[in-house]
Amino acid sequence: LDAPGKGLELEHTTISFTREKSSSPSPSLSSSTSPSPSQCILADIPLDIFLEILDRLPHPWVISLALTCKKFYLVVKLFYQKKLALTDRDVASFTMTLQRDIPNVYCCVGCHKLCRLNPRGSWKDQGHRHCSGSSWWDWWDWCSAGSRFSKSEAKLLLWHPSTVEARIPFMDAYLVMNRHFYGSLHGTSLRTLERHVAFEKYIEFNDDISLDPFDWDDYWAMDQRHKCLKMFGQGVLDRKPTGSAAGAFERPWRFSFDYVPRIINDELYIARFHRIDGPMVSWKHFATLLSSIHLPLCDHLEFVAESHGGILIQHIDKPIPLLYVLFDETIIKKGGSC
Amino acid sequence: MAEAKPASQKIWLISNDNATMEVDRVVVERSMLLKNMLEDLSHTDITQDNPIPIPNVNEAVLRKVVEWCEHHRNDPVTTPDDESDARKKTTDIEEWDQKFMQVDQEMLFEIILASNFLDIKPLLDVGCKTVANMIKGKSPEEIRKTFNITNDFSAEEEEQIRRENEWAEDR
Repeated sequence: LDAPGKGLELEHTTISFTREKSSSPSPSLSSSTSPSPSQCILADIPLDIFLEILDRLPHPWVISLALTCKKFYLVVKLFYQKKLALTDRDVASFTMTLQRDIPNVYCCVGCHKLCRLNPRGSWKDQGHRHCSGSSWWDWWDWCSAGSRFSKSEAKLLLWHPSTVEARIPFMDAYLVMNRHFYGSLHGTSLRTLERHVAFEKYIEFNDDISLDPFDWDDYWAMDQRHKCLKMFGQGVLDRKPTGSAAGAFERPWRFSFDYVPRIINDELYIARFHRIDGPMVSWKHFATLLSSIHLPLCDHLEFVAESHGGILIQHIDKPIPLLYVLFDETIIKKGGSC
Repeated sequence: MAEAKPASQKIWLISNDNATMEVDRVVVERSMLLKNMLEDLSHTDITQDNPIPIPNVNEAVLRKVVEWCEHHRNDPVTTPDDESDARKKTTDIEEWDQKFMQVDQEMLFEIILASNFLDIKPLLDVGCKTVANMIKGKSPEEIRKTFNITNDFSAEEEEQIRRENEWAEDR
């Protein structure tokens, strides 16, 4: 500011700042180029007031403002760049915002970088899927196993029915909502959240499973849980065993899950219809079966949804509420907003 | 020796479109420019027939500025220490001021310019924070729309900026 007539060239444009006399009005951000944005009052205010506004702006939006036109870009570069110290959070805020301006791009919530979007696919079809940051988000549906039961309530070993097909990672929901908010070139179709999964399992119930030898919140203990499951004879098998073991498995349990996504009032809802068909068992075993199914949905989506398993487990020593008996065909759950 | 200031002393201001306003001295003194001016004048120098000219401010804007000063007449005077960077970075605006600033952009910037000219730092602060809040959370394109900014970057310049900001992209 103290250098009268100082200018900086960017291609064919010169932006000049002049302060000839201390008593003269503040220099304005006038440009010698046309077209002059005469309707843009922000561009016509004195430089010192413009800098006052910059002083009150969080750094991500200083960059955003700088990218609107040459004048602001040069002002920020000349007078403000040294002040800009972006934190990781700032970078995330900025790139999350910038993705709205650039078609066929999305901001990865893991690494906060702008990535090319394949609007026709789901998250699994994006080239960036194996970014270390985003894969952490991808695991959330697994990690939610720990959140469903507190340690004292964990009476069963969880198992994941068809985890690959039924799961909805956070990134899938995120890309869908991006499309909803910013248009078809900014995200993926709502249909990518639809699921229809059907499979069979042979299950042997075992009442003697001991409680909680592991850290139930620890995803990496999953392997141990599977071993324990085997050890205690709670068989969950894809095929009917042959030989002497076959007698314990009367007939398969058939599961089918249908997920129907809807966006209502800018919030994402996922209705989940579950059909379970199996041999006649006691109420207790039926309750434990429902409780032990971990239906994969990322925590972020599940936070506002009540876990029916959590409710059932409280009733494990009581008759199952009528509601759940009637709903042996369908248990409707609401997914959270994103 | 400075003259005693009557508590209810009136001051007359005249806008650049010749509208005269009668304002309490304590309200006028929210402006450091006018406060310093009044300290150098006898209280009889300013009369209805000899108001203080406010050359850069029209009636509508001056009325808004006076309205703000009236509302904040009992606020403590800010010191340079209050102008800390941390305080500036807080874009919180108290409710009354938020409503006060619900005006069109032209008026908003006129108020900012007037408060700068009259040296009313708290009003300048509120004005700048209001503009900052209009920018906060917006992408460059959204800011352009808000302020009617023309994107005058050439394709080459955009590419140059893009290269400077490669860190934001996954390549």
